[in-house]
Amino acid sequence: MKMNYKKSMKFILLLITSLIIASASATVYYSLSMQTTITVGATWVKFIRADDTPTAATVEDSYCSLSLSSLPNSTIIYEKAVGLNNTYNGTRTIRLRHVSVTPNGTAPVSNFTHVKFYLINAAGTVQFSLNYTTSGDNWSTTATSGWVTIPALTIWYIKVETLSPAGATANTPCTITIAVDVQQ
Amino acid sequence: MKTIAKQETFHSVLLVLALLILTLNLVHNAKSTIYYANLSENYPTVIQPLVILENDTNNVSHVYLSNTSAKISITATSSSTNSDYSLKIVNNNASHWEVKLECYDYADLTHINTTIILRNDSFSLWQIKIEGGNKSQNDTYYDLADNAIIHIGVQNLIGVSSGTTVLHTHLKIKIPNRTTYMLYEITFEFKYDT
Repeated sequence: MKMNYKKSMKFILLLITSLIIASASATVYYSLSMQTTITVGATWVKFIRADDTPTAATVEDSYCSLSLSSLPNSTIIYEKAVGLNNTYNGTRTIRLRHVSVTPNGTAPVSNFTHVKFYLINAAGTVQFSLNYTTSGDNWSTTATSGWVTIPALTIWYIKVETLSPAGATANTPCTITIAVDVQQ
Repeated sequence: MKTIAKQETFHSVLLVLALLILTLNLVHNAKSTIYYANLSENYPTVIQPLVILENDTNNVSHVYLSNTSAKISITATSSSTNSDYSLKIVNNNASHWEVKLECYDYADLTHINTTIILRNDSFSLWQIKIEGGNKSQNDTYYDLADNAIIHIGVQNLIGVSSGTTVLHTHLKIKIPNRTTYMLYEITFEFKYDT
């Protein structure tokens, strides 16, 4: 009987294809992640009001909107701008991620020096920060943080620090959207 | 026949390997990518300072642009002097604040002795003391009432040895019962020449 080399080649090809699929999948990690965002329903880690949440703020389980102030030549610190409540009876991993900042690339941006977001644990220790700094008319931001573990049934906080340059024009606004990603 | 059997075994191994790779990959992706995003929209807006700094009666301060930072420069003498109105802190709105001075850096404390206070016309509270080259600090807040004016005073300033003492401080302006606060940079420079 003769060896069926054609069949063997097919299996080898299958193995190689599997390897290619596996490695390709690994390199498009973030694209795939975006899809999972909309398919998961349970919200275990929720926004809650904290000591420094502005009165007019909107705070819902998975969304919050905060109106903050920035002063010329003076830092404003909101130690507990909003809370993150892990309502799950187990640990969860979370991270801070930049989503958008507007305006960008136009003159009003120079009315800000920086806006910094810190993830603070229950003991008050900074876990990581997401920093928005300006250079001329442009914003730049630090990279998405790594994942950190929030203990079961624990409240952490997001601290915000703002600063504008001396002589900044009053009533100049900007909008910064960040995501608190929670791994299931 | 043996050759065919070997080939079938080889095929089975390849198939199992391929399935294993695909399965592990699916498990890995499923584990690491399932997350949801809580969105936080933040609207920082530049505001006019609600509390401003102004030069005061003793005319020993320089207030910088935007009135949120200042430098106080006083020359010490061999006898004790007071500058009770070194810098004016003006609350321009109907909000109540708590304020205190916090020293975060300094240089050459040995040249003078002095006490820095916050005061109005009826009440004063010491904030920072320098004596014998040592610094002490009061953690108690001073009330800054609605639309009120208070002053930074420098009391019992006396030269000890020639040189310049510098204190870098923050005037911490806090909303009562909250942890929201503003930091105004105030530098003190005390010179003494025997």
